[in-house]
Amino acid sequence: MADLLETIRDAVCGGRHKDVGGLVEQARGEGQPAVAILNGALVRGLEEAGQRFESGEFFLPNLLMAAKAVSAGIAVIQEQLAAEGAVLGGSGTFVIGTVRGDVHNIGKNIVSALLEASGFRVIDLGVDVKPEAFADAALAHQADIIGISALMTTTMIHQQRVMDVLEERGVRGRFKVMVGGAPMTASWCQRIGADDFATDAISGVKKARRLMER
Amino acid sequence: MNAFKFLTDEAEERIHEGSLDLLERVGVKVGESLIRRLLLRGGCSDVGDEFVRMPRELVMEVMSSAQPTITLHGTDPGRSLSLDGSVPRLLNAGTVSVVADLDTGDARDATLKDAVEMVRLLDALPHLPCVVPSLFPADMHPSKARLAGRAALLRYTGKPASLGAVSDAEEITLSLELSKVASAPGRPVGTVMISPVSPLTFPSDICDAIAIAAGSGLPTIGLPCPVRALGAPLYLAGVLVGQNAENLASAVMARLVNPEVPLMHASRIFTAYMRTGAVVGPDPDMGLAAAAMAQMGRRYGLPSNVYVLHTAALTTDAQAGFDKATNALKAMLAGADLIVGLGLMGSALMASFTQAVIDDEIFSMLSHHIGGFAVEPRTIDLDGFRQAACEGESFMAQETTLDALAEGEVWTGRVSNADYWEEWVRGGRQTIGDRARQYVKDVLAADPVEYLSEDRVAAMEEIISRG
Repeated sequence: MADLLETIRDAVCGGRHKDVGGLVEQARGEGQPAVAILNGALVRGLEEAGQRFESGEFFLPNLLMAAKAVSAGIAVIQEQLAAEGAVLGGSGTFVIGTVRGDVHNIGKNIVSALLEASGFRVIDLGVDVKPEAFADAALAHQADIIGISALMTTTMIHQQRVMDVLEERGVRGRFKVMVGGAPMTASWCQRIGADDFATDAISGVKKARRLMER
Repeated sequence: MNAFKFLTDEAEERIHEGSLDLLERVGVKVGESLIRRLLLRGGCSDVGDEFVRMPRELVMEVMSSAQPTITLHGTDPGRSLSLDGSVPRLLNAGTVSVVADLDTGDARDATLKDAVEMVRLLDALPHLPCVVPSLFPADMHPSKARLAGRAALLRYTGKPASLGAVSDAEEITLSLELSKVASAPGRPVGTVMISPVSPLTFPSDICDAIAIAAGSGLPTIGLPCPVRALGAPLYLAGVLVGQNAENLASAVMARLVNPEVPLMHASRIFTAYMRTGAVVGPDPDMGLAAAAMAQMGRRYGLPSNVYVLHTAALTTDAQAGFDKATNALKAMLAGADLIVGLGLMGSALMASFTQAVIDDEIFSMLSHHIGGFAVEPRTIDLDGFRQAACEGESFMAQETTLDALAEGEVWTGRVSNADYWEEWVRGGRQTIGDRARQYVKDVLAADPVEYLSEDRVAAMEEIISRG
């Protein structure tokens, strides 16, 4: 049994997401509790991928494929995990979307995947999101952090509009707000009153964790 | 010029066929717009989720239309520029809101004063024949800032000008109004650049902008900016197919609106940094990709517009020089028409006055003799050898040397070092950055040259106020 968990762990670390579902089913068939598969194989495989990334051995695609493999494994044991009382998304709830007028979704999706892999519950609003929708979703899902993505200098202004809506509704203080995208700068972040900013996925996730500690 | 072909004939054909396959089998995502309706009326099929597939016959029919020679105009009627494919031309890049401070080198938000001063510098650079807005001031509302940046360009340089990249109907409409105010009769100022979202996505706003730009008759440049491993495959061949397909799709859209609209084939390929996913870092493939796209452009009879003067460096250091020169040289040898990127650094997120001066010099050095040189009895000059070898007359004292000098046979720089050590030390050990900074200061110390009358400037102010 330990060998099978180790095989799952290696498959996750190696990003072999197509293998992971079957291996997890096999482990379940052999009577392994879902929580044990999650913590003893899926999470450990992801942690190992993270360590290899930190050491410079792995690149971002390795990390994303490992996260994808974890998702594939969790999909198989989702119901059992709930039945066993496991809590997913324990790092916090992160509402994320790309601002109105901007349909770039790739960077946002990478951030979402890495946040989920880091234990966040992610509510992804998609692209071309109205300012009010960020506030609505954050309130509805009791978000800890709102992430507002914009890739173009032309659409950054809508990040300001989201901040305005949060202020107008008197709920700005209930959430941390991060702005993300290649054109972000510290001065822009400061000007619109966001709590932090990120220009790449890895730093975005690190800063989100830091915000949760504040 | 005698352009090198980086792609073999077989590779070129595969990229062409792959692009047509992509448009025909996958299609492009096109938001509700006039363009979408024209595509469907023109034989494209609606396959759901906003995707339309383009039959290759339509693409090739549109691409076989005659492309007029593109002539770029400026507010000074004497400075028009035809892109005739004879030599590569330099173009600055934009448009950003962060500038490296001239005195400290620190990155800071650009002001309207910076935007104006950058245009004045661009106007003075000797090897830069055409310009785009480089800076949009960060001290104004973004929509007004973009118009103000364009207005500054039209006001403070007479060089042929592009309106830069636009992203929606309002921006292009007001920008065209600015162009109209600034243009001499029969010489409309501006090209327009419009970027789809890679991969293969043309939102409604972008379609509206293409329709208005093409309808205006100004050269309309689809400007795909695929990032390898993000909006395009990491494989170079894959990203070339994707970018070529997006160029072709943009061309079809523009020409369905206006069959005579002049087009360009563009390359803006970036590579995601594999440690973070950010679009930063040096990229040696950028020049090679641009060379390939220049070759594809020639296949379709279109001049090419390639961003290659790229650097990840954040100051005017050795990396800035070799990043830019190595990439630009590949594209220039491949016969690219517009070599783009002067003045940008920090992975295209920051403009720099001093780097602009150095880039002008880099381009000057790279382009020297790149259009070819005369190989004929006069320039082989056997008689000169005889005089030197048999009669002891130095080549320095021969008339042909004077002729060669007059014809520009020798490259001379403006800010590159040409001193021996002792002179250099006596001169204060100045780096190229020091000399470039002084050049900028000299340019800006002169009285500004304005190219538009007061009433035209007032008209432009009114347009900006509506932004």
